[in-house]
Amino acid sequence: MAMALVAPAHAVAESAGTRPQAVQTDPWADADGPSLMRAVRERGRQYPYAYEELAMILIDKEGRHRTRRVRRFTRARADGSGELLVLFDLPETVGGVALLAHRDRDGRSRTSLYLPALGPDLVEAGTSATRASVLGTDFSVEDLVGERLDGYRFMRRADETISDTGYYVVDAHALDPGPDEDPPLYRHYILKDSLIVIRTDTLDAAGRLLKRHTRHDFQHVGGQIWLPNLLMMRDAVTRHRSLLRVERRVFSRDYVPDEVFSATWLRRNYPPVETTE
Amino acid sequence: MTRLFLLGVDRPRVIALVLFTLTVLLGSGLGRLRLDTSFDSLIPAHDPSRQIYQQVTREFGSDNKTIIYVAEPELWTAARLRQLDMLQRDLGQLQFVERIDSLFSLRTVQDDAGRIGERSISDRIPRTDAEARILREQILSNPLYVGNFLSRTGEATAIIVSVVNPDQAVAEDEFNQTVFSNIETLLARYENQFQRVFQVGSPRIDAEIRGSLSRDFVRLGPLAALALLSAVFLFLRSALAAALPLATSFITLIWTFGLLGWLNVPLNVLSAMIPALVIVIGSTEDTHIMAAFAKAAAGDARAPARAIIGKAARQLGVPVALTVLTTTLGFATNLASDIGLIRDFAVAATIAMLSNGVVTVLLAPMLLARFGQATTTRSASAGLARFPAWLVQRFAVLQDRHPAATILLTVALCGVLALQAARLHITNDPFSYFPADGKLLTDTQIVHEDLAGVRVFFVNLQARPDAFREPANIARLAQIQAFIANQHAFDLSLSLADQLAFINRVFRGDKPDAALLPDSRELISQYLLFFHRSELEPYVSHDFSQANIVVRHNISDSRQLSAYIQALENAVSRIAGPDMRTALVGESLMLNRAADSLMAGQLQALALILGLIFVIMSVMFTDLRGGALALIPASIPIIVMFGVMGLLDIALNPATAMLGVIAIGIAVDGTVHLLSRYNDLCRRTSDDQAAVRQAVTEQATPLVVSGLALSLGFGVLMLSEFAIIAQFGALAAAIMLVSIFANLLITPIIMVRWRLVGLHQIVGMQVDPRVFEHSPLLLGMSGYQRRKAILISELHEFDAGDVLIQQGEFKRSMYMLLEGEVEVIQTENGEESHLARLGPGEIFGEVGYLHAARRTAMVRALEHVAVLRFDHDKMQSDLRHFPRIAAKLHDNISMVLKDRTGSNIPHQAASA
Repeated sequence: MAMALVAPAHAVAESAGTRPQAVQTDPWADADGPSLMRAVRERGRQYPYAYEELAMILIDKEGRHRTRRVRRFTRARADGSGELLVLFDLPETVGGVALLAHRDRDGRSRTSLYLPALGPDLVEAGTSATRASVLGTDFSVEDLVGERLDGYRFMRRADETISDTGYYVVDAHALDPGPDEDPPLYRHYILKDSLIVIRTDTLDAAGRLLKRHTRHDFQHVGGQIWLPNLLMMRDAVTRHRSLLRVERRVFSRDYVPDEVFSATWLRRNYPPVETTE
Repeated sequence: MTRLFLLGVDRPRVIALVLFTLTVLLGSGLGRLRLDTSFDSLIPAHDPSRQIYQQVTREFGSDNKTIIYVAEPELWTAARLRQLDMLQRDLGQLQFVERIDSLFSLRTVQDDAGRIGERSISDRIPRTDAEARILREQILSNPLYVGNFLSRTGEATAIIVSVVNPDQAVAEDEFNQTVFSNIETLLARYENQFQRVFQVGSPRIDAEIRGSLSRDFVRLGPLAALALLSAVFLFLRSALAAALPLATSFITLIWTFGLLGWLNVPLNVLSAMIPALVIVIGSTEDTHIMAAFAKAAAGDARAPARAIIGKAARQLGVPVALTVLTTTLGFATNLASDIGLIRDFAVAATIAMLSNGVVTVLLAPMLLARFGQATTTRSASAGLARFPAWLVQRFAVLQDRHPAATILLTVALCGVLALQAARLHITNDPFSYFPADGKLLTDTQIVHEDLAGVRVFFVNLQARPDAFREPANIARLAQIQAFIANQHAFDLSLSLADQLAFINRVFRGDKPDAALLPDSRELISQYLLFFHRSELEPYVSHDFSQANIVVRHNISDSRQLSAYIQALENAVSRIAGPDMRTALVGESLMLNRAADSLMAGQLQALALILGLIFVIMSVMFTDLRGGALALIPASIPIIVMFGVMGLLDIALNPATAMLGVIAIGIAVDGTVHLLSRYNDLCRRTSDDQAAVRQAVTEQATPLVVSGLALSLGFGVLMLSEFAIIAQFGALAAAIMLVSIFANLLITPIIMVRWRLVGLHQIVGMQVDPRVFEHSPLLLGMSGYQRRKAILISELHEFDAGDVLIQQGEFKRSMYMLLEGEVEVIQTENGEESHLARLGPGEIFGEVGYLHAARRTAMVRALEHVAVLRFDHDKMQSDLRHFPRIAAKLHDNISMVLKDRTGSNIPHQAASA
């Protein structure tokens, strides 16, 4: 049975009820980091099929920007496995470029890249690609699909209030810290009243800000699920910004058939490009 | 000039007050003085490439970067890499740091296992030494790292820091200093972590220039003063002779630097020379004044100070004014330089030389009047004081016995050295300021050897938007880089083509031989998805209409760099084709181009100063030969200087390039004094040889003392922390010694053959002009004809009772009385008959002049008289090219004779 939930992102974003529903009490006051992150993940669990049309806007420090059109297909299975396909449509010269990620039930990931201009074969991407930037943006794959809870050690920090809004703060540490230090890799700021991660800072070994990922324009997509229609990543070093704006979002199996997550489908729809020069 | 000299004697309080007030007023500008150590001052203001350079750096980022060099044999351990990461992050946090490029920031499309994985080392610092070693191998196989960020041995790395001063957050002239201090403080924390860590770049150069400049200011001035004092005291044995230059220099320096403060003219590297220059150059006039005063005092020790100073002033006034003028002109010729560094120095030096002239003329007579007579009696005694006379005697042997051989030998030597001068090379590289074995250049050399030179320029190509997504254009970039590599001149070049070749290699299985360029527009666009915009910023513009090839090098020789750049420009233009605009831009190239401007400017300045000296001296002696004569001793040191520079491989740089004009301005001073004295003596004797001998003898002491003092003073500059100032000092010292040789050996050989008469001597006679206008000898002559006729005569002065013409003698001279009265007396049978009494304007002896006959009467001075003597043979010789003047003179003499035939007495006077 296909569950279809089509939401025009901007229409929802501009409606009066864009604010996630408040939680009346604070049951997480004494929770530890892992518990809190599990709750966050549970609250944000998505529909198993998601199709999104995105505008990827890259802005340099001078304010000059470029826009790419991208489609994102996600499939989440009950056993924890899933697929992700990020497919470029525009500009035309990059049409068909795809990032295809598979996660098995054990949490192992495999990422492949398809470049029509390179040939019919998909190129396997390394495991470190999950934290690496995605295709020239400031986002990593993890930023797009969410981090694996078993990939980090989560440690709770003191709550913070920023602009009259209360946040739980949780640091994500590497599972295998170095011999003499254990700096956090990320710092999540979680809205107390909705358990939504509203901001994630990527930190360096000295705890200084490298990148800041913020989520905006939340859309209520059903139940307790609120999803952002605008993601922004600001690189504190280069002062570049990357924006992902959701133009259209559909939760429907019809939009996310299994075959899209295959090399065959990619090659059929975006055949290798003959050399034009 | 005499009146001006006597001002300090006649009105000492007024002059002291004027000097004090001016010193206080101008000195109040000292607090406003500022330093300019920027490279901008080395680049011509109107360099057309400046605008293109600014456009390119706006788009691609500045080429003005600081390189943090880190060397550590154990670099590739987890611990060291973490420290390195911390260092580069700490650098990124410093104020004004805009961008950090390093091993850690560079992204690659290769992951730990060699698969596709866009990442930077920062994404995952190795946690174990084993991981670090794997990373080392990966990075060493990446051409974007090797030579750029990592040495081929993997033991040295560079962190490249770009800094900006947004909205002039700190004053521009303090910016580099602030950046340098910030970085240096940070690096101090990491000194123990790595074997070697240092910074090289504009901020360090700026800071080192400032430090060296301050130390030079504090050290060179006093040392020059000490050298000067020693020289003057040893030769002149006079405390005042030593103290006078110090007093004038001290006041001059306050005036100069105070005025520079008020005029907002900054001090720069070359300004470090000013105190020493003022002390040594200023001392030459003081030395001449002291020598003239001593000579005048020796003539009449009991005469009042005012009379002695007046006598010295009459002899020295015009030469001092001339030498101040020529020295000032030597510096002033650079006022029009397009290079700020030289122009600002020229302003400072011109003000200094003029101020020194004014202060000397006002202060020296005042001090001499007060202390002079007590301190000038012990000169010309034993020991070193006899050295000038000894030197003159040795030279006299050559002048008398082997004049032709001496001249020929000098010409031959100059010829050989002129050939050596052809090997001269030019540099305008700021690194050339510093000694080759100094820390900065040593560090720069280390960076060059381990990584790539710190000098950067861009090859910029401009076309339509998206042009550099086309394979053909990417291939053009690669072709240009291949040309650069084949030149074997530059250390490294990087462009978008390197990035694309590398990603192509990785996507095609990471085989080095697969490092070919992508061959389709689509593939290029698809590869470009894997680059972060910040990685491409230095190489391609936002809209892909412009591409930049970043070239690093270590060439400081301007001629060499120009040749390579010219070849590269041609190649770039050919490879890019007609549809693209190309430009080679960068601060290092503008500095290099400025070297050409520097050379052209100096040649112009040299021609200008030589021309000015020629004109001034020609006018002064109303004879072109006067100008030519002055140029000979001035030119010899210059030829020697350029020859020695070629021989010793000393580059023409902003300091040494100016040396030519400055040295001429100074060296000609001695010539002016020598020629002036010689001509003064010529007016009193027909024996030119004797006049030359006497002039050389009299001028030897001031010439040798000032030459040696200048040489010592300039020699002090060799202790400067700036290589270019040290070179300037050494060469200037040598020039001053050569100028002694030129003035005392060569000039006299030529002088004796060219008798010149100075206009100033006539002007300075203080004779009523009506005497000339109404004199029967000069009637009907134009001003020029009258002056020329007078200049060919000799000026003689006689005291009351002196006999001008002896009855019965056989001489062919005619006299014109300028001052005083003479009487004409005929003696017959032992009885004197008074025939006539003659006054100013009247002539006598014209019969003897026209016809060889014995004098029939005696002419005796009734009081102090001044006369012009016209010798028949000399007039015939000197006026052979002026037949009209000769004819007119003879007409006038005939008229005088005709008039006198009506009167017995004048006739006797005429034939006296």
